[in-house]
Amino acid sequence: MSSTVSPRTPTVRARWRRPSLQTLRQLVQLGVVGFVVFVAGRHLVLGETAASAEAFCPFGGLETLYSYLTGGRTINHTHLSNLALFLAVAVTTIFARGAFCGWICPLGTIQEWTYAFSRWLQRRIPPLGRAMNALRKSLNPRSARGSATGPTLGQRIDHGLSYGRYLVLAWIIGGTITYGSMVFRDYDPWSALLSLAELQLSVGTAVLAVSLIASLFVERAWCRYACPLGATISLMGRLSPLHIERVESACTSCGLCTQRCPMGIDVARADAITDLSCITCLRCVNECPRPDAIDLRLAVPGIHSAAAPTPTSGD
Amino acid sequence: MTTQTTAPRARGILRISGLAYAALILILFFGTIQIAQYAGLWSVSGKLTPDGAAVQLSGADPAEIKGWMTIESVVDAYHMDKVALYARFGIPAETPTSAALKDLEVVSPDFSITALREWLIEQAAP
Repeated sequence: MSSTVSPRTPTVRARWRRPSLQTLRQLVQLGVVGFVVFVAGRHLVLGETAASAEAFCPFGGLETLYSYLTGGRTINHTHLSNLALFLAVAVTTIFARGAFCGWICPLGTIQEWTYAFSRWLQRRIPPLGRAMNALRKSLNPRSARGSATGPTLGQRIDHGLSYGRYLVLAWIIGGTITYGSMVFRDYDPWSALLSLAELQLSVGTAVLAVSLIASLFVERAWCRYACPLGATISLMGRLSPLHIERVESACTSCGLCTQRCPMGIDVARADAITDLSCITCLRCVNECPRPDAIDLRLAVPGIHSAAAPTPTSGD
Repeated sequence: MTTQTTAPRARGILRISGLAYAALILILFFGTIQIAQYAGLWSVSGKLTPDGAAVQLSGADPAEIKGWMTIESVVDAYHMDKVALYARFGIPAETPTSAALKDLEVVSPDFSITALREWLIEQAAP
């Protein structure tokens, strides 16, 4: 008995893979958010005798690293736990690229939930859905990007704003070294979110509100444009031997991978996804209807299989 | 007739399954934290040392002073006159010495942890 496998028809294997890995990722994210809620709630109930959720922020580790290395002391509001968490993020990043952002970071998770809520609303309010479709089309790297037209306005803005997180990172590192204090704390949306439980409002609350509102329109807006920890991970991730790779001969160019990428990377046009903003959530791998067209691969950093001669397939 | 495209496999490149990657992330992240805890690089409070002992002011370095510490602990560690401290920062006389330093910023606009540290350095200077 024979059957025809259309390039766009998900195979049994692809259908099986899709829910399992992303469900696992979402369970890990949920577990981390649950842990943070538990720590924050415990601190709220028990007060100063219980650890603050801020003690579990890896970015605090980066902020206090200079002080710890030069003076053996952590700056105010940071502890050894922050340093250990930053070390854990660094080790994870060096081996597994942007995995912390895509699998663990609770702020990224909350933005994913916000965007999922937005998609839910769009399905129920057709005019909103149409407007958001137009916005997505404008931001999608595959849209209207021909040699004649060039990038759309949305793509240009998206590209320009993507450098914002490196500016934020430079400001924080410079400020922390200069003043020896957490210059970012008052603007930090994560710190603001934890403080909300204690009914404290700050500039960070406004940054958090703007980030979450932006996440209704652009998935992971804070991660894309302003997250200093994401910028750090992006830079360290260049050392990682892992990356996602697309096999052009197996690809049907359906563009699903690009559409599903939460960071707006044009996966469908790349051979190896070495884009600094890749958070290795593996959505592109799971969404691909051709199991062999896109995969996670281990290689020497800077070398990918597309660079090597590959046999021609008889598609 | 079945038409199945086979993707070419590159030489020397190892394909990693999603589940193996998930396991790698969890082992790397939580394993590193576990190792840090075993190595003593773990404390979730500035009030406790990694060994679990209460942090005490040595009286030698004002940078050690934290907002959660009390007036009493600073006065004792630096052998200073409480009245001089209250007068320098305009702290109301009725403020108990058991008050946390971070709470003084509310009752005394002149007070800050940084200003206290600087003042202590000045006092210690010959």
